[in-house]
Amino acid sequence: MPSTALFIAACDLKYLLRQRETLLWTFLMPALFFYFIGTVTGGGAMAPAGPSKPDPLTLELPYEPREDDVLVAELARRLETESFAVTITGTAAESGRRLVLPPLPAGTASWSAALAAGTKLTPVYHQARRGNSAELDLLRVGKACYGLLLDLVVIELEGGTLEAASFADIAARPRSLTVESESAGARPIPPSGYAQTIPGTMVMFTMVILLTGGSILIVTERREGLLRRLASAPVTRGSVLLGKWLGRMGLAVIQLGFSMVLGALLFGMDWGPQLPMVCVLLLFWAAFNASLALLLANLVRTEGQMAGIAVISSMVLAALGGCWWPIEIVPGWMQSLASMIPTGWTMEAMHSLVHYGHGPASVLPNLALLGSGALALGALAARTFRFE
Amino acid sequence: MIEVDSLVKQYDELVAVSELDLVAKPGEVFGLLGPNGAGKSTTISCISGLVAPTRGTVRVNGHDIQREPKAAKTGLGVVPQDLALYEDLSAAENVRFWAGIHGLGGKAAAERAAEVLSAVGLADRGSEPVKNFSGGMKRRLNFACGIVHRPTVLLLDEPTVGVDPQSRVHLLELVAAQRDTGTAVLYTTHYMEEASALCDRLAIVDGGKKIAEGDLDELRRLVGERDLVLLGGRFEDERLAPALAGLADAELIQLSPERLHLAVADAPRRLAEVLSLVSASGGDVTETTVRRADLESLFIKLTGRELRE
Repeated sequence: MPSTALFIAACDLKYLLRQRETLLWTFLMPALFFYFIGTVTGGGAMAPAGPSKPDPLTLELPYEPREDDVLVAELARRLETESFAVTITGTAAESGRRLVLPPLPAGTASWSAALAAGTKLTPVYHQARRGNSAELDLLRVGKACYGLLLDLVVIELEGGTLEAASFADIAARPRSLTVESESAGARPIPPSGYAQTIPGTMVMFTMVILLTGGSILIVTERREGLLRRLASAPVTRGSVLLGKWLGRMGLAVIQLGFSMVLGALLFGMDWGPQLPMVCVLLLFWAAFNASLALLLANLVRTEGQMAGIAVISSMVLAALGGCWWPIEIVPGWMQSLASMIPTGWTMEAMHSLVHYGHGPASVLPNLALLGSGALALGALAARTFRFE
Repeated sequence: MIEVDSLVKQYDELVAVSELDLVAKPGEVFGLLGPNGAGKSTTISCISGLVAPTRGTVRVNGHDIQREPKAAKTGLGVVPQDLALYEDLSAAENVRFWAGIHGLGGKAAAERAAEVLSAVGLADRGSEPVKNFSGGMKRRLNFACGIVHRPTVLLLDEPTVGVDPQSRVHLLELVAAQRDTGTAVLYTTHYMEEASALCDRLAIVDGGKKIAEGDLDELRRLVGERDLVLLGGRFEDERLAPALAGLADAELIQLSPERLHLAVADAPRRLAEVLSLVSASGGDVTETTVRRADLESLFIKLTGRELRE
């Protein structure tokens, strides 16, 4: 039985991969969706949660860095406090986050000296990115600069000198105004841009591809008498079913695998530290859809019916389950609805593993739901499968 | 060898096959002849294991198709009425697929595929997608897919429907070649000429029942020496029936307001006599056909209907 099932699976997969529609929806459309929808919804994939890595920033000076440049050292320290990994350089950087100090006035060796001599300093911040995360970067740079400015004002008012000890002295003083804050718990920031679009599109397309190409092939085989002919061969009904199911699993694995690699290589998608569990989750999702594809192919009469059901159900479930937008931003009733549908189970688990950095245990209930669904649908498909 | 014993297949109220017995032996073509809806395809479905009989048994090479399906189907080849082909695959890929389903793989499958494609005259078209093929070529490929695994029992369900005369002749030669290799062939058709030319033994079925069985000579003897006279027009039952009863060496087969079928000895010479009798009985003849004694005559004699109705 396994060898015949594998043979049928391989033949089905080969046949499906020859169809233009399958190739279009498996390889081309994901790339287009990732790019267009991902770009308009914020672009760059957000880093997964957990211990955040400092963002690289170049502090660009009009001269080679100097040991005695107190102002620059203090500015760098404050930027690092704002979670930037600062690189101080005397040469112009090409790209990335750059805080550029203007050219020095004649006769001065550093901006510490120029500032002490009364020269006005206007640093300029550059970054190529746009969107919410870029705005946040600008705010953090501004905070470092304005903090430094205030300390310079205090030093000036108190007649101090521009040296590291002066900054340390100010920092050590008791504050006349203290704001105490404590954590109210982690605030989940919903994914946006590619971080939302890539997993969402992948999940939606698995359903689209398996319910269209995957199911329609079975409907065509039945209409043209191919299944009937198969029934007269020394092949068990179980082998045929298993072969059909495995063929669709194979197609889903190719589609999901390609999308994952494409997302990582072209769009910088970070799949996070739980990559093996992400793969397990996607296999469960593929299994659910392979079973659903078999079942629906048994319930419809024509290819047209199947295409209509496939497109409508995929689009509705994708929208309601959070494939098009993060489910976290929709009203409560929609979030409740998402928790009852398979796309919702999958997207919630994807966000949990990839975006919020939760451990594998966090998605076990989702896997249980998808696995039970795949088994139940598979059992129904086996019961309703007909050769003619 | 195919052995069908008291086969019954019923769908709710409809009895598709009723108490059918037949045996197709190795090295013979057994014809199942009947009009559309006679139960031929249902019989094939029961023999191939697609449909479970309501009653009765089917054995293929000694194995009960329901109890030992795998053993029974191993030597079974089916050429269905549908063109059961993958249109987007090439002819060779189609044949190799069915070879693989029967456990033939790799080089053996490729060699056998080339062999059967050559046998059906498609050797030079093996790499072309089936969707580019004509109807006749598809029929031949359909046949190739059914014999790729060298079956010892071959079921052919109206394999020549809709093909051009050249392809039909080719297909009939292929069937005969299968018989000559010792294969037991069950051949369903509603074409009399095919059945006459090809079948060693025949069963005539109608309404799910076998109404006659035998070799060609035996069946011809059932028709007798009488020819068939088929008249169309308007006929008056009450006046005509008694008049026809007096017609020498003739038998009334069917009489309706629009049709009159008679078995008449030496009909070509006695046609004028028949027509005058009908006219004298108030009948109005608009169409006249005389058929010599053949299988179709037998079918009409047995059922009162023409085979292609």
